[in-house]
Amino acid sequence: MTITADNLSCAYDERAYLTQLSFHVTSHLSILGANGAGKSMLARTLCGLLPYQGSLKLHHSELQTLSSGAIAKTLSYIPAKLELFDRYTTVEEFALLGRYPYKDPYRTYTQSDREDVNSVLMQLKLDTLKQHPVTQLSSGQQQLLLIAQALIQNTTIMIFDEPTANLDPHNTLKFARLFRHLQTRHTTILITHDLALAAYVKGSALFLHDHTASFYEDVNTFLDTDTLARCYRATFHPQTKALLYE
Amino acid sequence: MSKTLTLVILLSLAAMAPFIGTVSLNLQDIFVPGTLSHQIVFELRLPRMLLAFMAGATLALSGLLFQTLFRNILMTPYTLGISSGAILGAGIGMKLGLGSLFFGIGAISLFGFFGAVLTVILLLYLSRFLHHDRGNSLLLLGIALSFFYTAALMILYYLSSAMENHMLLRFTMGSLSTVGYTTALLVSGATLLLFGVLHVKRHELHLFALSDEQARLKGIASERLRLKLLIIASLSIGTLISQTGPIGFIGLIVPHIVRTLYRRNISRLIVPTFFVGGLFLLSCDVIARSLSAGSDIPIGIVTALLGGPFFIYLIVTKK
Repeated sequence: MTITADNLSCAYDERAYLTQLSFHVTSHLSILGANGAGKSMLARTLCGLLPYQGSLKLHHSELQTLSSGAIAKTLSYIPAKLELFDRYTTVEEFALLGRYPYKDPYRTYTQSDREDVNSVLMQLKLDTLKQHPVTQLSSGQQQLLLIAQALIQNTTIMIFDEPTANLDPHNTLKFARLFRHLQTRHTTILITHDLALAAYVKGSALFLHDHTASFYEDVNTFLDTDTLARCYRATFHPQTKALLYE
Repeated sequence: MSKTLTLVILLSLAAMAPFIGTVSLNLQDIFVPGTLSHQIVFELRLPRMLLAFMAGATLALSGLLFQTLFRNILMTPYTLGISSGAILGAGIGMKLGLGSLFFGIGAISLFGFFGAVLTVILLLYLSRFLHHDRGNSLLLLGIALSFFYTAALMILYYLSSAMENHMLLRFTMGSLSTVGYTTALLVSGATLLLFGVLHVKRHELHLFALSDEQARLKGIASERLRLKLLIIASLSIGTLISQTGPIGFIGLIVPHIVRTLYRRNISRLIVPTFFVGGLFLLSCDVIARSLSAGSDIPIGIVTALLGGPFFIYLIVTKK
């Protein structure tokens, strides 16, 4: 499934807006940019949560013409952090919400929905926690659960919003490996500040600056030390892409 | 354990309901038509029990709904100003001296109904201008509206005669007094409508408990559904308040008690909230009627007197 933006503009208000964005995603796109550059706004637009001008196509259909039900079967969004007003939702119940787009409106979830949930939870090694309240999980487990829900939603496009922002190095590494595995079967979009992660997952990179894409090319070109220094106004280690504090 | 205990207490109090009141019954006569005991039980106490149960259920369910839709545990018909709107409406109806012009429905009831429904519509209209932290902003709007309504009500009190003031004050305190089944069945209809809709939409509510965005991303037309749910809730609450006056606290504490006792997600709390809400108000009514021989303490006072300390207990003992 491809995503194509052509002269795309979107806005929260007069100060927070993006304009003249054009890009084409076939397998993977990393969206980078400073805080407040509009990364999450772009992600929300791609999910159909914000109105836009210009053209934004999922495969061959203009996003604005698709119903929210159709969008839910095509793309899933994995937020940076799991937020839940309901403290007693269990891991299994949370994962099951991924089947909502496929549910008969006047019936409850079916046995086959539950089997789907089981197999994905097993695959991500969350099956032993099935009956635990979601709020008792660690950040790493919550991140994994969000991915599980998205996988259960069974969409071709997956959009990740700063997935590693709350993870320790070990969980970041586990996430990166899982992400690579997901890339074999999904079109992925990754919003991140983590340059090493962006390098690891390959694909193209879009850098948001001054309300538009100031850079859009292959990620390896972006990770050139001079380009990084210019984009982020900071110095990075030439090999590891780690931020240099000196 | 505490769940069983609470339910046993509520059920046994509720079971006492037909036998408590100013007149003591002759137990042998209850099922003999024509006797005073029969008449009291079937014409006064059973309708009152039904009304109390349904009123408690409506208040608890609407509290649960508001709290879930806006993800804020302080949302209730009271804190959002809907009850104050009903009181002001009733006050205006009474001041205009419209009597019982409308098909036997008192003007006070009718104006109370419109006061509640118009407040919800006003809140919904104003909430369109809110962008950040909608839940808390809406709550602040509700509180501001309450103050405004209360001030307007004070003007009404000031302008009214002592007799009018007395009528209005009694309405403000809330009352479950009823004769025959008309009121009880009207309120039951409104309650069952709300209960049915919430039960059918329980999976959607579960998604609302995550976030509005997650609900939309799963394919729910969230704005439209929220509007529908709020309109149904305000019709139910409006109908209820028009008949009983405002009864506070149930909408705040019952969803909280049910969550604490059942420890389930929202989609599995609709049925318990319906029953616990109903039994809770019914029990409060039994206590109110057994406390004062000869007269009814208005129910709104009892729910606040009993509910207040219990709620504080729940909050401070929370792990």
